[in-house]
Parts: sequence; C-alpha cells; structure tokens
Amino acid sequence: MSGIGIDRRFEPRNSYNGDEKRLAADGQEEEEEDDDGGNGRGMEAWERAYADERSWESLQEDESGCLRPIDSNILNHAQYRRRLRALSSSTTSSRIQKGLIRYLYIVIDLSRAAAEMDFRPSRMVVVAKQVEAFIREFFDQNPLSHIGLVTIKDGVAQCLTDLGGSPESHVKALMGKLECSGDSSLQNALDLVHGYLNQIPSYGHREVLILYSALSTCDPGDVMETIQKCKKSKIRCSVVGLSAEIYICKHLCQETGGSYTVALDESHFKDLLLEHAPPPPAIAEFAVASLIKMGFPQRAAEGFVSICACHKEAKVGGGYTCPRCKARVCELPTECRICGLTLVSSPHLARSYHHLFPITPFDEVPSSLLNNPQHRLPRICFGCQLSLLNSGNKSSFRVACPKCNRHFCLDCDIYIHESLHNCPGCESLRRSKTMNSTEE
Amino acid sequence: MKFQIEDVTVYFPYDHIYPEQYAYMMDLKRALDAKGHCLLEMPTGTGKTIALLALITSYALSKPSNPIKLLYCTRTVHEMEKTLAELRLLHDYQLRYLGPSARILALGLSSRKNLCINPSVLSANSRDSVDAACRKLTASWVRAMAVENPDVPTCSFFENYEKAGSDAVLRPGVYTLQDLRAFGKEKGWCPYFLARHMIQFANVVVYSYQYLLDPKVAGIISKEVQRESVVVFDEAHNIDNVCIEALSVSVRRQTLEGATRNLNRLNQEIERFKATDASRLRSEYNRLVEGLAQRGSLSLTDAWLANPALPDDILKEAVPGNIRRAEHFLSVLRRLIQYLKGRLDTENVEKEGPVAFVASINAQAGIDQKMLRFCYDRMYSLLLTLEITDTDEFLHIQTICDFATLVGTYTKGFSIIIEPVDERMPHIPDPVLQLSCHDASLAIKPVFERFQSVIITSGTLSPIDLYPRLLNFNPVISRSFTMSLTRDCICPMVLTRGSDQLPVSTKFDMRSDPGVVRNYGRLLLEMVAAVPDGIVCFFVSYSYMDGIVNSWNEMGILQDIMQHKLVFIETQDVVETTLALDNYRRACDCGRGAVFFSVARGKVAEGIDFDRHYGRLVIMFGVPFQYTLSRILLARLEYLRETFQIKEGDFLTFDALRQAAQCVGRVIRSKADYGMMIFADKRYSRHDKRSKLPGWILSHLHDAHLNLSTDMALHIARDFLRKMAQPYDKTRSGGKRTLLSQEDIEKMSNDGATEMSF
Repeated sequence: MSGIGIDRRFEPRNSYNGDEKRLAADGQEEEEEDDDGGNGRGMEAWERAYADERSWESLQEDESGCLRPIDSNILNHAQYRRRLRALSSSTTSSRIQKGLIRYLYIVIDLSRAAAEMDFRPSRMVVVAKQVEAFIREFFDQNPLSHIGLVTIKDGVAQCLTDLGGSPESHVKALMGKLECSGDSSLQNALDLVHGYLNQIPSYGHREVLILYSALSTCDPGDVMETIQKCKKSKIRCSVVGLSAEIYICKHLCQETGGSYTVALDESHFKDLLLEHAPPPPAIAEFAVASLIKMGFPQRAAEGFVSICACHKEAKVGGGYTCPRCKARVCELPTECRICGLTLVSSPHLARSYHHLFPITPFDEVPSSLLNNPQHRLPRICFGCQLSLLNSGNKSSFRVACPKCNRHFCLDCDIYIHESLHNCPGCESLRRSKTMNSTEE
Repeated sequence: MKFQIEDVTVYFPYDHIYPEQYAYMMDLKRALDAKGHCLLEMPTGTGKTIALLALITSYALSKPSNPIKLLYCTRTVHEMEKTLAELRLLHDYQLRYLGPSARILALGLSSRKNLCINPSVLSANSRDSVDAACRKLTASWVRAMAVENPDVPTCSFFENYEKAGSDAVLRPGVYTLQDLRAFGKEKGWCPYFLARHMIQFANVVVYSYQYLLDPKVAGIISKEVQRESVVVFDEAHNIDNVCIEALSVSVRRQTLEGATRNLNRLNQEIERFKATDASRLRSEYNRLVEGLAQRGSLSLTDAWLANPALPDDILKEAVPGNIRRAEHFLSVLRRLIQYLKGRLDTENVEKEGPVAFVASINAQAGIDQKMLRFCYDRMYSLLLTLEITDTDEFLHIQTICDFATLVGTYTKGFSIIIEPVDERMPHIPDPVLQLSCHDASLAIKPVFERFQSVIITSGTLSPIDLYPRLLNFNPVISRSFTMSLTRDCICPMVLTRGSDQLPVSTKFDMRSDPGVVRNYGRLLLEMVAAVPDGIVCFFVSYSYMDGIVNSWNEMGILQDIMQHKLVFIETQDVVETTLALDNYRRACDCGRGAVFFSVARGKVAEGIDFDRHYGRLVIMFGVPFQYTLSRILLARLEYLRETFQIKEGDFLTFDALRQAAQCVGRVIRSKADYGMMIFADKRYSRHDKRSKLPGWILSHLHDAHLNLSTDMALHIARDFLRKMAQPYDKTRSGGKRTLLSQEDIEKMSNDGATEMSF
C-alpha cells in the first residue's frame, strides 16, 4: 500500500493510470474512500457543491409541500418487487427451462466517452469495478458457464480474454488494460463476438453483454446486417447503457431477445449488471434436451507432485485429476486441456439447481386486510421474529408466502428470494408434516 | 367504447380515452349545440383527430332527422390520408355497434394530380399541367369534336363516367384518395369528377384549406355545400397566413413578359377565328351585352377557377361596353401591362393604397375601376370562346387579370408595394410588384357566415385570444387543453447564457458578436456529446444559418461536432433537403447520430416530424421574428393597429412564438415519446415572450429551467435522458389517471362532474 502511495505522488491526480494501478492492487472497499478524497481535493468548492453532493436529491416534497427525506427503504423494495415480478412473469409456467451452461462475452466500451466524469471518478473505472464484482457473482451463480472479455477502443474491437471459467484471469486481464480513446463501433464488436460464439456447441447459451458508454457507433458497414446475423446465430445481446437510450442498441436488444437498460448512477448500474447474473430462460427452439459428457475429477492427495496442465509447471499438492486422461488441473470448473472434457464438481451442479425451481414471489398483504380488526394477523415476521407492527400499533407493510401463508418483513423477503432460495415457512411446514406422520 | 356526453351517445373506437380527449369532446359538443364557432388548442399526440371525428359523426348519428355534414380541412395530402384512415377505423367500429344504420359516405378530395388515373394525363409533372392535360381531353368542344372525328383523343374514364350518368355514385363507405383511384380503375370512371360530384351527398369530406378559403377554388368546389355543416380547420395555427395568401398577388418582370406573349397568342387566335368563324365572336359579344358574362349552362369540365374576389363582392352587372369586343379587351390589357412595366422600372420602394393606384392607372392608361374589376371574368369568357385548352400556358395573363380584379374590387385592407430589389441582396435588381392583403378576416368571412359551426384547432394556438381578433369572429368556446402525462416526457428549457455566463441572443446588435456565435457553438457541441441519435436545430433565417455555420467552421467547432454526429443542412432546394432528411434519418437509425440544421418558417419546420429517436432534442437558436424591415409586414402591422387595435409588438411576438412552438413541437408526437427543447435566447426568459408559448409547453417549463447557462442545461439534459431511458409502465397506479375506461367515464358523468379540471 505504501509503495503505491509513493507511486501516486508522481502521477497527475486525475490520471487513469493511477486509478487503475490502485484498483488493480487493492481491495475495493479501502480504495473507494481514497478515490473520493482524491477527487474532492482536485475540484473547486463550488463545483463540488453543484455536482457532487447533490443533497437536494435525497429530499422530496409531500402533499402539504413540506420537504421530507426520501424513504429509500420503501423505494428499494418497490424496485426489487418490480424486478421479481418481471422475472416471474417471464417464467410463469412451473416447468421452465433455463440455460445453465452459458457462454457470455462481456463487451466493454473503452471509447472516448468512457473517460466522461459523470460517474466518479470516471465511467471506465466504475465499469471496471462493477464488472469485477459481476464476474465473481456470475461464476458464483453459474458455475458451469464461461466468460470472455472484449473491449472496443479506437473503433476496433479487441479480444481481451478468451472464453474461460476462471474469474481471476479475467479480472487481471481487464485491470491491466484500462485506458480509453477513439470512437466506438458496435458492429466491429458484434462481428468479433459472433465469430467466437458461432463455434460454441449448441447446448451452450450464447450471450453478449455490452456495457456501452458512447452515444453513437462508427461502423464500417451496415450494422443492421450484423444484427440479423447475430439473431440468426441465436446470440442473445443485452446492453447496459451509461448515459442515454440509443435507438440502435434498443433495436439490437429487441431483435435478439436481450434486455436494454440505462444506468442512473453507480448503484443502479450495479443492480442492472447483476440482473444479468441469474441464467435467462432458454430459447424455446434451442431447448432440446441433450446429454453432455462431464467429468467429476477427484482432488489429488496432499503432497502429490505432478505437472499441472494449465500452468505447465510442476506443482505440489492440491489440484484435481481428470478422470479420463489423468491430467492435473488447478481449479474447477474448467475444460481439460488435454482431452477437452468438461470438468465440474458436484457442488457446482447443486448450486445451479435453485434457478430451475425458484420460490414464488410473495404477495403483498393488502392494507384493507391489515386494518380490519376481524382478521387476526401474526404480529411478528416468521423469518426474523421481529415485530411487524410500527410504533402506535399500526401494522406496516408486509408480504405473505402464497403457499404457507406465513408473513414476512421486507428485509426477509429480499433475503429469501435473493440469497436463501428456500421459504422458511414452507420448509418448516414440510418438516412438521413428516414429523406428524412418523408420530402416527 | 361507448359513452354519453349529455344527450349524445359517442362511439369511440378505442378501449381507453385520455381525459383531455373527453374534455375536448365536451366543449366541441357544446359548440355544436350552440351552432357557433370555436377555437380549441390541444397538443399533438393526444388524439385530436379521432376525438373530433368520433364526436362529430356520433353527433350526426344522434340527430338522424337533420344530419350535419362535416368538412374537414387539412394542410397536406399526407394528413388527409391519415385522417381518412382514422375515420375508417371509427366507421368500422360504429358499423359493428349500430349495424347498417351507421353507414356514412366519407371521401377525400384533392387536385387532379392526386386523383387522375389516366396515364397520359398523369405523365405531366406540375399540378397546372395535369389540369391542362385533363382539360385538353375533356373540354366540351373537344368532346363535341370527338363525336364527329374519332381521331380526336378523349379520356375514356371521363366518357364512361358521363355515360353512367346518375348511376355513377359511390356506395357508402370511407374512401381515401387511393381507394378512389382504385374504385375508378375498377369501374372505369374518372375518380376526380366522381369525387367532386359526390361531395354534395357525402357526410364527411376531407380536403385542403384552399377549397374553402381561396375564392377561386371555393367558388367551384364548395359552392353547393349545405349550411348545416361543420367545418374543421386542423393544424390551423397559420390560418391567417393562408387567408392572406389567398388574396395576394405578386407580379414580377417575367410575369409581364409572359403575359405579353400570351396576348400575342390570343391575338393570333382572334384573327384566326375572325377568318374562319366570326359568328362565334359575335355571339360572345351578344352574350356579354346581355350580362351573361359567364356561368349559365357550363358543363362540368369547362368550369375552371372562379373569380378571385369573394362572392359577395362581385358585381352583378353586365360587362362594360369598352371591353366587350375581344380586340378592345386585349388592347386594354396591353395598356395595363405597359403601365405595370413602367411602374416596375422604379428606382425606389413605393407603397400605395388601391384607391390611389387605380386613380393613377385611370390617369395614365385610361382604364377605370369598373374595367379592372371585370378583367378576370372577361378573360375567362374569352378563353372559353377561343376554345383554349392548354390553360397552363396562360398562367401569366391570368395572374395579371387576378391582380386587376382584386385591385379594382377592394379599397380597404390591401396595399400595393413595389420593390426594385430584394433588401437582403441589394445588388441584384429583382423588381416585384405586390398586391398584399392585410386582413385575414376577408377570406374567411364567407366561411364563418355560411356554415353553422367552424372549428379551428391545432397544437399551438397560443395566445388563443388573438385569433378571434385576427380573423374577426366571435367564438362561442375558446379553450386550451394541456396534456396529461404518466411521466414528464417533455423537458423545455430556456438557455440565456453561454458557458462563459455572457448572454446569448439573436438580437440584431448581438447576433454577429463572435462571443455569442461561439457560445451557441459550444452549446451545440456539449449537446451532441450528451444526447443520443437525432438533434434538430432551428435558426431564425437562412442567411443567419449560413453565417453562423461558416463561423463555426472557421472556429473549428463544426469539426468537433462532426466527431460526434453527422451534420445535415436544410437548403432552399426541395430535392436537396429531401435527400438530406433521408440521410439524416438513416444516420439516426444506424446509431451514428446526426444533427439537422433547419430554419424556422422553412418547409421542415412546418411539415416534417422528428419523433422518437429522430429528434431527442431540438434547439431553437434565437427568436424567429419575421423580417421586420419587410414592407409587406410593416404595411400589415399598420393595418392591424388601425383596424383591430393590435399592437405591432404584440403581433410580432405572437407570430415569432407560434413559429418557435411549431418548431419545438416537432419532436414530440405521442405520449410514449420523449424529447427536450432548448430555447436559446435571453429574450425567452422575459415574461411577455414566454407567456405566449402554448400551455402544454409552459406547464412543463419549471422555474428552475428558466435562466440556464450551458453547463446547467447539460446537467439537466443528462439527468432527463437517464430518467427517460428507464422502463416506464403505462398504467402507473400511483400517479394521475391518464387513461379512462368506459366505467370511469360513466362514473364521472353520474357524479355530475361535468366541469373537470386538469
């Protein structure tokens, strides 16, 4: 850390190289504070007051004209519920197919526009930071999938990393290449990605996620043709924009079945990006059941020395052995370098399982029911056991599971759907049933 | 959906209705009940047309004993087709609900150029030559000749139509121009004459303004329309200019030369007739003595343009003796042309009233007022007698006769202005003599008097109290509606300062200041970097646009702009502009992004939509005042002050602001759309200017957006674009109700909530 500090003293304050080194070297929590400090010092006081703090945005006017702080909790929850509903409405039928084996190219726009400072410290740095988080989250949710990175710079698309399953290598490659210049070209990027994804076997899901800073695209040819080409090869293209809605991006997403969103600020950008982490529903005509050959390698014994297939050097201990060719690989999931077998571990498969059986979204308990004295409603949240009553004995907003009819508070609602993937109410119900049956 | 407005059951073809549409219908209904005229302003994109059509047809259906007829006037053929398409939708819906009793006949009428199906006629390119080509085939003497001599070409479609006689009718239904052509082809009837014939029987007629306002055309087409009609002028914000143009004539040197050529040709014809068929000329003379200058039993196809003066002002007298003989008439015209030529040779600008002008003609050329007045009818009679069919060749002499008749008929509200050069290009001699009408109420007066309800409606009619004064009528209802929106999808801003905090304006003393030019350039440069897809810029005039684009080029601003977006420019050449527009759209489609430079009051500002991604931002550079040194404008201002007590400043501001509102209104054409509008001039922040903008813009113009500098505007633009890019849900439960279903309407009328406020 200190070495970097010295390093930075010789750098101009707003240089991207400096930021990039800092980001590459350290964990991000520490750095965030550092960044803000560094930026604030670089700006004059009036600029900061106008652009940075924006304290007025956290206020809103109520009916009587008084200013009140925005209740961000309710707002967040409303947003989350909308997302959940959208998700469940697209997959209403109980037997949905999801593409669990995904081949995703993340296209990062590093054109001139990425240097804009409307996100702090710059769009590029924010994108890099969030992409890193996304890659980790993605592999956490989709252990069987692969990611590749492509950048657009000076009107040309470059492949940063090939498709692979290791988050570390992607993050490292990305952080080493953070500078931006020139125009951006959607067509070049799509062409490049199309070339790679076209070779993917048919069980894999071909996806492109474009993080687009620019507001225009400078193409060598007709981008519409390229879009049609992508559509034909069943590549699902999604775009997250950083500044405004662009017609061609919208068109691209509509044609290829992807989603198009535009980020309001950094946290919103993060949310939008993470929406792409859970696997999308499978395209109908593509969803033919097919069998894939996979290997479940064993972990090698401690102290066992072998030549690693991925790093091509002798290593001691750790690692996994391919069940077919007995080569050693360092981490899972991957593809065996020698025989090309897909290597996974069973926990990886298990982790993908909940996508296939999501818990149904909880219903909001209507306020008429809440205020009705004849209905006796539970006073505490079934999840966290905290009181659901506000001060003054008035019931607050709550949700109920449609299956077990237990009531939950908002925090538990989010936790259950996003992390736990099991409804405590239904689980306990099942347990008590089985216990009852054994008693009888 | 179906609902009640007072005693009328309204059939509306959609399941939901906007609250402002409902309010609009209520007011319209009351105006119809009162049998009076009304002025209604409602923003574009709120379904004005369908609300109008639905109410008026339902109103007619509810009063079967005395059905009213609807005359719907549009500005362009394109709008005509759109209106008829909406009407068809509505008609189908009403048929489904009511069965055959709801049948109506609705049709569009346009010129021969748009309706003719005869390939040999259609090959002519201009409107006048199509008319002439048609006349060549269908004039009564041509057809008479064809009976004797089968080699004389005639139009088979017209012959078939004539043969069918009273059987040639349209079955009830809705006919667009295309349907009329198709129907004509199928039956082998001439669609133009069929449509003209059917106007008398149709329930709804959609045609252009000119068919009612221009006395030359109205005299022929709309003569026999019953009094119980509702006349709608859609997009009528420029109606006063249309009225004025209908009664104005301008004469240039080419006109006079062409007229001389025409006279020579007429002379030859007369000589020829004298030699071969002298009796014809003599019979014409006798007819004129009896005072039958015209009309009588003319066949349908011989009728051409009627007298340019309004019907009430035409003398019902015999043609004066000294122009009864053809040769004498020609020599009178020759003297008139000679006189006009002499006047055109002047060195300085002259302005005269019609009375003084007529007196000086009388003194110098010996033509009195009465002779002038009869010029048009006399010429028309002569052309008929001489059996001239290629009328497009005789446009010049017609213009002269037009001029003579108008100048002889009107003594008030007109002036004659002779300018030796165009003020803006003082080195090129281009003398022009203009008879300009100052009083818009003249042309529209017969319409107001003749029909029981006249409805003037548009997206921009503000300030709404000025129109009744300009057009000199008493509306029973005049109201401006605002738009109800689920989200704030328009974002008007007034930018008064550049990035260096110095004021920007196109005021005469500031417009060439390099600081202002640079500030405007910086504004555009910042905006092209922040706004996606299409941007439209409006400048106050062509010369100003040329100047500022040149300076930007020298400063290197234009090059910087081109890095972000392609630049297209409107020129005075229509073909070039169309090409530029086409390429502009393509650049927006493929994501390259583009800027379109255009001129307020130009063709683009009036008729071209820049909806959706074709126009995310429109920048109005300056206030588009008219060229205030123009003599015509000065004369009109003087007249308005003296006759209608309208102050010069008020009128100029009103006119400039309605143009500005038209320009910025181009970007938003529906509620799902969104767009920003920047008024870049410090004068917009003044209350007297701003308050004349239409209500639907003003209601979105927050106080915080009134006095912006470039960087603040940029900030607002970025925020706005981000916010608008978020998915929005049409039936947002929390906000205002913007869509009413049938139940809502019923509930409202039960509550007696007739006075709704939005």
